[in-house]
Amino acid sequence: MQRVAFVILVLMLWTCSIAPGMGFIEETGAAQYMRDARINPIYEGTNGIQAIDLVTRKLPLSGGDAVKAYIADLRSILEDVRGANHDGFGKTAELLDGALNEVEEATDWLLAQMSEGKLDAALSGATPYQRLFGLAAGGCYLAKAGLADSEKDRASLARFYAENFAAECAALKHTVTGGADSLLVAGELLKAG
Amino acid sequence: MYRAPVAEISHTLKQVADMKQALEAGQLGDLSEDLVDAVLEEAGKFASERIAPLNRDADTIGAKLENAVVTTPPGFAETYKDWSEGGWNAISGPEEFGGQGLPNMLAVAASEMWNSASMGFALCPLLTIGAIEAVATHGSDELKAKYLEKLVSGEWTGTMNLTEPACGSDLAALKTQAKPADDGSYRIFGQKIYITYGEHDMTENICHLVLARLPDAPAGTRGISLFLVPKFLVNDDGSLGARNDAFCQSIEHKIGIHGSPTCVMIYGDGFEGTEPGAIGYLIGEENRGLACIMNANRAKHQAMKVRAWRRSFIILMCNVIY
Repeated sequence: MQRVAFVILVLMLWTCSIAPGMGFIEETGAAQYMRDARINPIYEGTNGIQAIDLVTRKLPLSGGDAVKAYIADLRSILEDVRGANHDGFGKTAELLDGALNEVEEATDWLLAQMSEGKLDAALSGATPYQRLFGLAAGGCYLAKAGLADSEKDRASLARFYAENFAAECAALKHTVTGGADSLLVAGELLKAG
Repeated sequence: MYRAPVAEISHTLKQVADMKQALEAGQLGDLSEDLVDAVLEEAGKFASERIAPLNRDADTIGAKLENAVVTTPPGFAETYKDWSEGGWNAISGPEEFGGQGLPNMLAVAASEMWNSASMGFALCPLLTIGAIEAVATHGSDELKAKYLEKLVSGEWTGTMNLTEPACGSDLAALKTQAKPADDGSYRIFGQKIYITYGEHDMTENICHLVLARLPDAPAGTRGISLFLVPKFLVNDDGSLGARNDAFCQSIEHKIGIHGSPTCVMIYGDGFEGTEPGAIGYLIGEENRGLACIMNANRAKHQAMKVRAWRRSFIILMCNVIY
């Protein structure tokens, strides 16, 4: 029972942190935004299909050089963050650099699977890989917004993002590189009914 | 209610998406930073003052279907008319056909504001963008002359008909038939589902882009062609002719975007016309329809995904307000 009480509180954190009681009430309008937004992961052939496109068609572009050049571009933003020498960025550069390392490792792993003909393994990691890449790139762009700022201190947003979300990248990398076998085995069991 | 965060969008556009750099390097023609600011400011005003107030009724009343006629929520038709007459649909359209030829990044920023104000409303013009792209890139000169100007201005809207009851992400299973007619046009027979704004009362004509299979087409995705099927046929002088046999059979009851009619469309079921089949015109080459529609989708896609990540911020903002 102690375990149940603990887990419920952890889950509650997720449901309440975005919109507490009022967010659950239709009249406040927040509920409509949540319901309307559900179409976004479905339009354009679903996020899952987009993830497959990302892994199977975009990663192999120019023999993998296209994705590497993009990651290098993102890294150059972090160089600029270091160069700005602005305390407001906190650990932004260091943490996002780590996040890009995770992206790179996951990318290399996926490219290796595909070149060995293990397409199922690569596809299994496509959705967490999409999320991993999105998280890391999102942080870099917030940092870029913070760099070119004269009126407001947007660096604090980049710092918040990096210091609160970047750590998820390591977990997602592990899912990409370590989750495929179990997904395929469990999938067979569920298919068998 | 939604208030467009114009300063944030402007900062992101210029500093993060490198528009400032492109402006300074003269890569965007004679576009100036002042004009960019003016466009964003006015778009923000229209989104906040005209579109956002429609959003509650859009949800609680929604789009309604009766006798194959769809009525959109209160205010949609008037607002759409003002919006398109204000030039917003034409913002990035080709200048040759009455568009303003402004950079796509500016159009995407404006689109984000329409969608944030009321997604159910903004989905309508989003689909038109795809139709413009397909006709402009792959359409014959005749199709361009007849349809593009009205699609670019927004006087008519466009739809994208891919999905069928037994064919979603995998288009290889597509069944809708297209039969060649003697006059070079085609007759379309089949059912399409999930057609955003497949029928509505906001414009006098709707241009359906429909994927279908020719009688001798190869199996799978290499045997799919793209057709333009207008709700009303268009005479040579540009006036509207007979009602085409393309009808909305039902609209879906969805979890959200209630303002946007998601239609089941029936082509060539014999509701209208003297001979069987909905009249359609080939876009691009036979059996190359998938490539045409993917190009069109790409244009729509950019606007779509920008919107997705802004959504989370809006929910947060709502929460702060309450």
